[in-house]
Amino acid sequence: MIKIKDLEKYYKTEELQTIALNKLSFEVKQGEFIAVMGPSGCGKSTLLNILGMLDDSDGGSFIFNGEEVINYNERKRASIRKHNIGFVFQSFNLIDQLTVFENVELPLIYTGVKKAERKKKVEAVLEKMQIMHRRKHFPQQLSGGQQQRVAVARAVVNDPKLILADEPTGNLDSSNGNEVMELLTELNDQGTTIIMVTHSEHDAKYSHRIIRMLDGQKVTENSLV
Amino acid sequence: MIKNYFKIAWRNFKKDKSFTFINLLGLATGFAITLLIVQYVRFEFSYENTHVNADRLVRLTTDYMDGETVAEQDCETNPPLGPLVTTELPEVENFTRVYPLGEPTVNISIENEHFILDKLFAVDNAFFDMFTCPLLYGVKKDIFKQPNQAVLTESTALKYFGKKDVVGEMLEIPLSQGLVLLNIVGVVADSPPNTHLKFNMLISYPTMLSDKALQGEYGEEEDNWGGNNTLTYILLAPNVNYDDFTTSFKEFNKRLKEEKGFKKARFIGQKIGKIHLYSHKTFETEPNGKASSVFFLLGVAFLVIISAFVNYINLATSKALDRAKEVGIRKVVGSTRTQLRIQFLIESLLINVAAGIFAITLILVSKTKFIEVAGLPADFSIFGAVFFWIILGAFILLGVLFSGLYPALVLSSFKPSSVLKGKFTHSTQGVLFRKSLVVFQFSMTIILLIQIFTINKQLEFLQNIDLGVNTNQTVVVSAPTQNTERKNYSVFKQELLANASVKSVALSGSVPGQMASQMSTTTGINLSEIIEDHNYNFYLTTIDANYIPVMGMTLIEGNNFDETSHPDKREVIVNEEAIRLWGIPETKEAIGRKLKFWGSEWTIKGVLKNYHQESAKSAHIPIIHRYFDQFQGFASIKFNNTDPKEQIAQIEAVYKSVFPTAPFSYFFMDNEYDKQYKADKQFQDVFSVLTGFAILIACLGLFGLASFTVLKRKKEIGIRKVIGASILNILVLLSKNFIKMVFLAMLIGIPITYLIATKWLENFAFRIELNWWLFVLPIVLIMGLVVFSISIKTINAAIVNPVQSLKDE
Repeated sequence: MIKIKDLEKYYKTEELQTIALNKLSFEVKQGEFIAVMGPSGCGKSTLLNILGMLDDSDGGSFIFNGEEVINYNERKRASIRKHNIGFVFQSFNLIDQLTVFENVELPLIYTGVKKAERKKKVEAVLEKMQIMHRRKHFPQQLSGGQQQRVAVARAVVNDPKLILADEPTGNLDSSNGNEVMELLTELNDQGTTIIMVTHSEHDAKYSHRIIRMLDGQKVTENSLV
Repeated sequence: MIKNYFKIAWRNFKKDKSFTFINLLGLATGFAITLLIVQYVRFEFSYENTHVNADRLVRLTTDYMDGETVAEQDCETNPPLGPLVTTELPEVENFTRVYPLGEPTVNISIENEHFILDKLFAVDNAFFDMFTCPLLYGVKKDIFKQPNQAVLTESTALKYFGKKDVVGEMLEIPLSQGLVLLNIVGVVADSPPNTHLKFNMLISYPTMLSDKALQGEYGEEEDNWGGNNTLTYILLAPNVNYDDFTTSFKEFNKRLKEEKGFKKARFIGQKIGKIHLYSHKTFETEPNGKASSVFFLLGVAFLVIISAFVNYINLATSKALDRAKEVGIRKVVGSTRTQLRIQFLIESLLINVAAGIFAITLILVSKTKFIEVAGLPADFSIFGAVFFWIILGAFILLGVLFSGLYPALVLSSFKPSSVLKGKFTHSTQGVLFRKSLVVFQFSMTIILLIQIFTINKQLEFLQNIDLGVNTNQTVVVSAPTQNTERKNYSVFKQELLANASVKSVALSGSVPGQMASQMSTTTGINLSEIIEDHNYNFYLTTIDANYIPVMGMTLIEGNNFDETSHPDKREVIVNEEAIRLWGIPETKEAIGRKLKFWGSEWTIKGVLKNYHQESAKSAHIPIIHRYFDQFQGFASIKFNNTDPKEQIAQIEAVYKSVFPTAPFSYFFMDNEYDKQYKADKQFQDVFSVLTGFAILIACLGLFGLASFTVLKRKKEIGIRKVIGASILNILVLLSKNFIKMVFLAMLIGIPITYLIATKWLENFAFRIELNWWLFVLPIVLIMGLVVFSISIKTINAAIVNPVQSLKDE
């Protein structure tokens, strides 16, 4: 599904250049659950941003579903993104001015789904995430665990082929964290590919394969299955 | 999708009430004030557009020449000019003379009832073909071919006869030489408010030539190239190019010079559409406006609205930090840049539409007051004009584009990967742009404040100038028009003086405070021994022996008239300005000098210190006072320490008993001067309102910006406090940038405002010096305002426990 080769990314300020990704290469197959680990600043998040087409790379190749997307413009990337990729963040990143229902509905609006169908889909996913009773609440009225469930709901509502999760349990206590990990596993079982960045060895154990990074390079790669 | 945009916009407005309030109030007042000013400007530029032939109608006026330079411009022309120009120039299709009668008023009698009428003109028959004034009653054909015909306007008919159809009725104008009998042959619609030539009644021009009483009073002669008291209007033939006419007319002037020996004057044309805002000659039919003032106000109005847009841009981009996360998330879940731009434009549209609605409410509330302040006609329709709605629509559209586009571009360009991580900074370019907007606002405020201070100071200065005339406690009564009654003046005076509060009574042909155009003028008066001609216009009036003391004028040389004076003694008292024009270096040398005018020799008996005939706005004019002790123009009644207003009833009773057929008409002398400041006051009022709003809007923006600055630097303030900064340190830190911007604005604003103020002051013969404090005070005020707005917010932020503000981050 994903094939990256010699991926490079630099951050430049006036005085110095930092290498975030240094000729990184790996492959991810459809239905896999990958955990990316490594110390702060090793390039995990940069990698996730590039995989999510939120950021450009400075070199290398990135093939998504058989398509080379490295040189795609913003419009094309936005289009691939909204049809194929769901995101889950450490800090949930819900829109404060929208209710639970509206937050989850948002991706469907951008992909042009009809209103009646949107309602059906949003309700189904909220039901599945057991957050239906909170659908009219605003994010700040929910607990962290509930907010992350909403964020996961939003990530999956469009039936994406790929979920990118950036430390999804980082802001949660262990029981809420486990719940989110169970959710992700369940989604993976149903066929969704998941790439998750994490600091937690515990969370990484839910995955099929762990890629460890340091200074923008892959250090080890070990399969858990 | 659109619904979602509206929803989030609405929730954002609700969430950030101060932001919404500042924008809404700023835009709404900006819209309202600009819309009102645009309506005012539209009215000022609509003059004469009710006349179908407006493009072809031209007024001919006189330039008095002093060699090659124009000494004076006069609206009035000689009676033969119209007919001659129409026969000689093929470009001219028709003409009408318009003779202003009885400036400013005449008395009329209807079946032994007596009234005072103003705006009366004698016009030719062609008037009705040239100007658009539809007859409501009567027959247009040859309506004014005969003498003693009159046409009334609808409201004049209603006022005096109690009905509109008065065709066939009669009225009389009593004059010193008898009665002018007039048959009413027509009734026309009232003059529109937007014409320079407003009238209540017209009489046929042939009456001027054949009626004995009118001849005795005005002596109009159809072929007289000597007298000029007639306005001349011509109608150009269709398709005649105005420039071609001007060329032919120049040739015509040349011929006139050669054939008729017309050396001291030339005639020039002006399109009637160019009269109201551009013509400021003597004997205008009404005081005209000034295009420069109108444009100035329009310019300021647009600054006000731009300032409101600037607020929106500044606040919206300052808020970017708040919105950045939302932008990031929307992009992550699939929004394109265009969709985000549309979203932010919709927010701006919503605010602008709401502001438009709010503006309409503001206009509804302030409409009557504005119409009064701007001197518009009372029934002026603001909402009735399609133009109003077009402009409102255009403003909203411009508002969306100007104020919405920049924030939309900036906000939609955020990269989700950085904003979602909180790694978000403003680009220096954006900061620079916003800083220049703030500098623009400050410059504008500085300019407007300095202008308004200058205007206020100048008008205050004018009103405190020593007029050279004591206008206090003086009531002026008009003379009866018939000689039979005028003879009873001594009885009138005695009865007045019997009242202990009456100090004295004086007679004169005109009184100070009246427009000089209401006085008679004669050119070419000069010292007897001087042969050389000059073209100065001298103003003539008649006075009795009581006049100078009653008016509190100062006689600096010679003697006042006394009981031995007589008109036949040909003595005059002149003012310093006249002495100056005759080239007499010392005033005392003037006494006893001989003058020649009207074919005889006159002796200078006294010299008066210059006094202001008109308001202190105008320069001193040369005035010659002849002796005359008959009640012909006005009687001025001076009171001892009593309020003259309380005495009016009594004066009227005396007047009615002595002059039973004359209507009683009076005015207070100080009011006559005040009236002359009306246009300036009006300009001052409109400008003050505008400036007030401009400053209010700029302050709103400043306040908003200060709050955001403080908000953005909350963490920094916390850290500084932990390290030991005092509130004052923090205040200085946060104000520094704003103060720098004020200084920059000052550098831009002061030269501009200096130029404008100097130019404006040139309109006045007597004017203030531009003082340094006029420039410093506004800047101090603005600095104060800046520090004040920042202080409120800073102190709030600074007294918060630093632990709190650091945790919030």
